[in-house]
Amino acid sequence: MLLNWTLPVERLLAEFDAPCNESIAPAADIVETDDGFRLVVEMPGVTRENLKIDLENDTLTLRGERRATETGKNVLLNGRSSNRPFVQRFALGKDLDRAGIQAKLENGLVTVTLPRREDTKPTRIEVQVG
Amino acid sequence: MALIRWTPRDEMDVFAHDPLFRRMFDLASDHVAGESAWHPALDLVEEKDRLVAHLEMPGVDPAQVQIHLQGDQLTIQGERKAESKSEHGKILKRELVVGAFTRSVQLPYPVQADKVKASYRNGVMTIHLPKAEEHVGRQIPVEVVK
Repeated sequence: MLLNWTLPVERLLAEFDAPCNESIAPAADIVETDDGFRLVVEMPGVTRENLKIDLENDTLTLRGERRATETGKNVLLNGRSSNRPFVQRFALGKDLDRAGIQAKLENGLVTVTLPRREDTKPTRIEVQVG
Repeated sequence: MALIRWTPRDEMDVFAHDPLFRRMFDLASDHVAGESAWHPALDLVEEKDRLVAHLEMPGVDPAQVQIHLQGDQLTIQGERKAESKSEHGKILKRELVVGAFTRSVQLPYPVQADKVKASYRNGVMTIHLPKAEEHVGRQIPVEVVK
């Protein structure tokens, strides 16, 4: 089981509530595969050094810091809000193997694979013909 | 003047500096997923002798991105292929927008088209557009008459 902590409504409320310098929740895909789950999270402009992935209790937190658009320069258009870090949280079920979590960062996309624990994978029961 | 498809949202970029407006419409990220709804976030920064455009386009193959400059109109076109294909599993949530996108911006200065350079790093496309000679600020030495 895998849940995204930040529901769209919560996110909207947080956006209203939070000062401008707080984090924003980037777009994320959640895919259930045969072996577990795969997450894809947008983190444009985030380098490997500035990406932190933490697992605390049952919460997986992805945090990406970006270099802000040049300050002190004449910014004509500002659509990126690059002063705010990206933060996404996911709740992990007991059926996921913590030790097997892997992540990669490629072209501004973070892909996290979360395998299911071997003993929780569905098994087929052979039916004996009597 | 080139013929550019009008995207109403571009008009809203003038409000994009306003923090309240930004949060209200969440201009930083597109949450409406689906084909052709993608509108990569764009920054345009003026430096002394050039303009610099930054576009957020994570997961895009830079070889498939086309950058056009016609007059003072800069147009960036590209496509993002679906990473999370359904044949690789069951999609529980899809927020990443896939498909083609076009972003157009009118530049405030003429630029030297032959010297435009673009680079793609960490999902961000950066385009350097050197200003046309006559628009680069020059320092005029002042002769002091004693």
